[in-house]
Amino acid sequence: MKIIYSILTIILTWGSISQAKAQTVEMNLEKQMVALERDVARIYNELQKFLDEDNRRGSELLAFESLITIYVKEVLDLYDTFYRIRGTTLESQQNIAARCLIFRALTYLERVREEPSNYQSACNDYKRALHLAQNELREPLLSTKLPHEIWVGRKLYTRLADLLDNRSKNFQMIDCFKMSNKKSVWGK
Amino acid sequence: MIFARLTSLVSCLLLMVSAVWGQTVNTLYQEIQQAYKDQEYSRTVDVCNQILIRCAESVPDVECRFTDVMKSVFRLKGFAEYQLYQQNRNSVYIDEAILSLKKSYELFGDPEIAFNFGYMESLRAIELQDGSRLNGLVDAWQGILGLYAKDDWTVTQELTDKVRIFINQAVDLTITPPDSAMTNGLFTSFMVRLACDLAEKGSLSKQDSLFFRVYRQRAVEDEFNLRGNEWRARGYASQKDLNDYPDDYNYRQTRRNLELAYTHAKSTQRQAEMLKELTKVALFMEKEGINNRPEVELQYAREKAQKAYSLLVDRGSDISLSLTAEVKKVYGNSIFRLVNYYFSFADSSNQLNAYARAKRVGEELLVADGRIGRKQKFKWDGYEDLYLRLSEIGYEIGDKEFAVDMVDKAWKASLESNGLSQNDLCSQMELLTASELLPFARVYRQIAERFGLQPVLHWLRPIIKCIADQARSLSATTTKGS
Repeated sequence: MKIIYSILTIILTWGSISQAKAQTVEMNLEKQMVALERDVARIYNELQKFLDEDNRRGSELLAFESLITIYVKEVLDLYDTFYRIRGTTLESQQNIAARCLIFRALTYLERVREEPSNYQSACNDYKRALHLAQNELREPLLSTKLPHEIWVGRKLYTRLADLLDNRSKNFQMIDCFKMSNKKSVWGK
Repeated sequence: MIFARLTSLVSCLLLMVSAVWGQTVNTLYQEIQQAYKDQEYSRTVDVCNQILIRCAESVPDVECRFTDVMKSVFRLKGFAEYQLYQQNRNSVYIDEAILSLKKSYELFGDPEIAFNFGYMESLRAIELQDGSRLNGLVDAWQGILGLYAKDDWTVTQELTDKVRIFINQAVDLTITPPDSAMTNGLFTSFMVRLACDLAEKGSLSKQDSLFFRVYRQRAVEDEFNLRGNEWRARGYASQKDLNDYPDDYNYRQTRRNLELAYTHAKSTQRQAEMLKELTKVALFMEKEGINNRPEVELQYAREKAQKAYSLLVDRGSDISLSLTAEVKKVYGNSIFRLVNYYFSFADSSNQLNAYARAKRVGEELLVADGRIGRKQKFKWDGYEDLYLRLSEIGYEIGDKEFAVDMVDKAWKASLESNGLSQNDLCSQMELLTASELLPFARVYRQIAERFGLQPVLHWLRPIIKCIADQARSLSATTTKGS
C-alpha cells in the first residue's frame, strides 16, 4: 500500500513539474512573440522614416520589406507552435499575429508600384489578419489601441483603423474582398 | 601503333568512368566528407557534382531522397567552393558557393547556413563596390534570428561573434561605393541598431560591450547617418596616424576620409565640424612641410574655413557655441598663416606684389568698423597678431591710414587679451605680459615715427620704456634661474 502511495506521489510530483516546465516554455514563447511584435512595429516605423526622407525607393525599400517578412514569419511560427501545443490560441496571441500581418500587408502595399504581385500578398495578409482577429463579442482589432506608437511623417497613429484610413490603404484593402469572394482557408 | 595507344587510352578512360559510375551515392557521400576533412576542396566539389549528376538520373539512388544527405552535399559543396574562392579569388566560386548554400537552406532551413550565404552575398557586394545589394544583410540577419530562436532565445558568445561580423559588413556595405552613395544608409543604420539590441541582451565582455556601444552611437548620431559617422570615425583615426607619422600617405588618407564625412554629413553642425577638421589637417600639413606645397595647403585650409564660417553666418543657430569658437579660430588662423606666408616672400621676390597679396588675403577678415577704419569680423584666439601683421604690411607699402588703423587695433586688442588698461599699464603689468606687449608697442612706435604721429609718440614712449624694463627684468630672472 505504502509503495503504491509513494509511486502515486512521484507520478503526481513529476506531472506538476512537467506542467510547470511547459508553462515556463509557453511564457517564454509569449514573451518572444511580444518582443517580435515590437520589432515589427519598429521596422514599420523605420520604413516610414525612410520613405519620408528618400524618394529613390530602391533596394532599401525591398530590404525593409524582406526584413518585416522575416519577423512576421517568426511571429507566425510561434503562433503555430502555440496552436500545436494547446490545440487553440489565446486572444492576445491572435491579436499579435493579426497586427503583425496587417503591418506586413501595409509594407507590401508600399512597393506595389515596383512589384504588382505585392498587392495580392497584401490582400492575403489582410484577409488572414481579419480572420484571426474575428470575434463578434469583442471590440474590432482595427479599433483597439496599438501597443506601440506608429509614426508616419510627423503624424502619430495609435489605432490600425486610423493608419489604414489616413494612408488611404483602407480602400485598397476593401478591394481585396471585391476581387475574390473565396472563403478563407486559414485555420484560427 | 597509334591505334593501339588510342585503344588503351579509351579503355583506361572507360575503366575510370565505370569506376565512378560503379560507386553508390552513399560511397560518394562518404568520399565528400573525407575530402572536405582533408581540405581537398576541388575534389570535394567534383564529387559533389558527381552525386548531383547521379541524383538527376531517372532512377536515382535512395540517398538522393534523404534530405539529410542532400543538404549536406550542398553545404559541403558550398563551403568547399568558398574555400576555393579564398585560395584563388575567382568570383565564379563565391557565386557557386552562394547558390549551393541556398539550396542547402531550401532543403533544411538551417539558420547557420542562412548566415553563411548572407555573409557571402554581402562580401560579394562589397567586392563589386555595389552598396545597393542589401539582400546579403537580410539573409544573414534571418540566420542570426534563427540561431537566436534555436538557442532558446539566448545570446551565446558564438551568436555575439556573428553579430559583430554582421555589423562590420553592414558598415562596409554602407560606405560602398565611397564617393556616390547609392542608398541613404537608413536601412543599414537600422540593422546595426537592431544587431546591437540583440547582442546587448546577452552578457558581453568589456571589448564586445565597447564595440556595440560605439557602433550604436555611429548608427544614431547625425540623424541616423551611419555612412557619415563611419567616414568621420575613419577620418579621426587617420588624423591620429597623421599626427604620429606625418607623411603624404597619411595626409591623403585623412583628407579623403574627412572630405567623405563632410560630403555625407546631414546636419549643419556636422558639416561645420568636418570643414573645421579639414582646415586643421591642411594647416598641420603646411606646418610639417612634408609635401612642400605650403601655398596649396594654406589656400585649401582657407577655402574650407571660409565655407565653415559661411555655415556659421547662414545657419549659426544649428551650430554649438564651442564649435563656433573653434571654427572662428581655424578661420582666423588660416588667414593669418596665409598672410604670413605671402609676407615672408617679400625678402625673396617682388616686395610690393608680396605685400599686396598678403594685404588682400588679410582683408578677407575685415569689415567696416562703423567709424573710418576697419575691424576683424570676429574675435578669435590670436586676432591681435593678425592686426599687428597687417599694420606691418601697411607700414611697408606706405599706406598710412591702413597701417595706423591696424596698429591701433592691434595695440588695443593686445591690451584686451591681457586684461590691461592703457591708463595704469605699468602698475598692472606682470612680467610675462611685458614680453608679449613689447612687439606691439615697437611696431606702433615705428609706424608713429614714420607717419609723424606726434601725439601717439607722446604717450607711447614712456609705456615702451616701462614695458622694456619689465621685459628686461624678466629675461634677467630667466637667465638667473637657468
